[in-house]
Amino acid sequence: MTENSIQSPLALMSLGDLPATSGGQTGSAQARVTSALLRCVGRWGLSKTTIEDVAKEAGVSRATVYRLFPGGKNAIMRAAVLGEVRSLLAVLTVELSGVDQVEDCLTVAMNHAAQFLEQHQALSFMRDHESGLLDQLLSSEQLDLLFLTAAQVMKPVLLRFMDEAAAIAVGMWVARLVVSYVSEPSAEFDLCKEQDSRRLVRMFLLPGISAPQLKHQPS
Amino acid sequence: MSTEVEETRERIMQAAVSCAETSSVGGFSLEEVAASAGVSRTTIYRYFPGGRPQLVQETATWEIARFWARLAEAVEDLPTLEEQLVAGLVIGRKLIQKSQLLENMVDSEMLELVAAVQPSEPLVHGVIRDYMRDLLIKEQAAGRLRPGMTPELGADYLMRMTLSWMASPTGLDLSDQVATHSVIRTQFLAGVLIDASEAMPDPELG
Repeated sequence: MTENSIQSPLALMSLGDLPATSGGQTGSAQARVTSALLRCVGRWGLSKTTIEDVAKEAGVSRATVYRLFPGGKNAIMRAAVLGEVRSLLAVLTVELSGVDQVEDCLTVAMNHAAQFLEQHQALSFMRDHESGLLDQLLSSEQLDLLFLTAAQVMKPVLLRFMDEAAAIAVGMWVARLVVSYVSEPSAEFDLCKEQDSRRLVRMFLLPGISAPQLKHQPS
Repeated sequence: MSTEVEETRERIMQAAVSCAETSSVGGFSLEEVAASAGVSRTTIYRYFPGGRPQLVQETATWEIARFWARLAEAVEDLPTLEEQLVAGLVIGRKLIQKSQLLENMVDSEMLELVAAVQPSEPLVHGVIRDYMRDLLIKEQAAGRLRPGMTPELGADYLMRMTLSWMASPTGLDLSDQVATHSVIRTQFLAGVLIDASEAMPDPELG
């Protein structure tokens, strides 16, 4: 590996050590509670949503909600965010399995993630009316977890195009850009438009992935 | 505003910052700030007629500007953009961690002050974008921008990357110089500067 290639200390770390899916499996009690919270937030925001509302929406008792999430509303919200990110990444992984060019792969990942977040009702409500609360949700620790999760899930897809260190680093890189452009929109790059995502990939990402790290694609 | 008046204002705001840093839960009082600044309460009200809320608000804005000015000053003598970005990331991360620690100790009104230097603050975006733009105008003059790159495009991108990495340097040990330089060269600068990284052959942009 040359000095200029992407190096990732993460490659040395076991990604398997990450916390288990905090959103819980689909259909689990945890997942029912987190998606109930998101529906409430999409309707009237996080600050007006009570545990009572969430319990009613999820069809469980308040005691059950507190047993599942002793940390209360904020803990449910953090789990919900991570759960949403995981389900987005699961969908992306499937969509990307048939893509055979690295440029297309990064473009689609960025474009679809941005569209998902743009159409997300709970997120939209918070961005428009509760931006302070949204900032708190995107704390350092939460961002760490979010970027690590993105790297973990994107890795198998990206390994088709590049070595392991690059695959981990590029997965996090894409996640950083999506979070940045969704939370602070740019007039220059609207990642919800495919051509803008592609332009960003060509302009900043591809030049940073050095040739030795890329696997040669059959033409 | 005369220099003397400005100096007194700054001394009061400086005192507010240090009181915020040292005060226990419950925050500081105007008396503490007055004592620390060596002025009377009446003087504080002359400069900040709105009292404590106005003092906190103006100190927050002042602290943002100072935070980034300190950072810019710390890196300005370094020879290359790469070195400036590496140093800026390392120092900026330390300053942010320090202010995050403060959040646990101060009352809710002071949160405004410590939150002011956090990367999510919109005011911060403009300040860094302008700063990066000035750096890139120099790179452009030296003929080092990649074809199609402009100081504006590059500055917006570098602002985003800097804030993202300062908020969460996960995956990177910032005390590892080689690794940090590598991230700056590949993820920050490869698309911006001509010689930033061993660029891969031009992808076929068909």
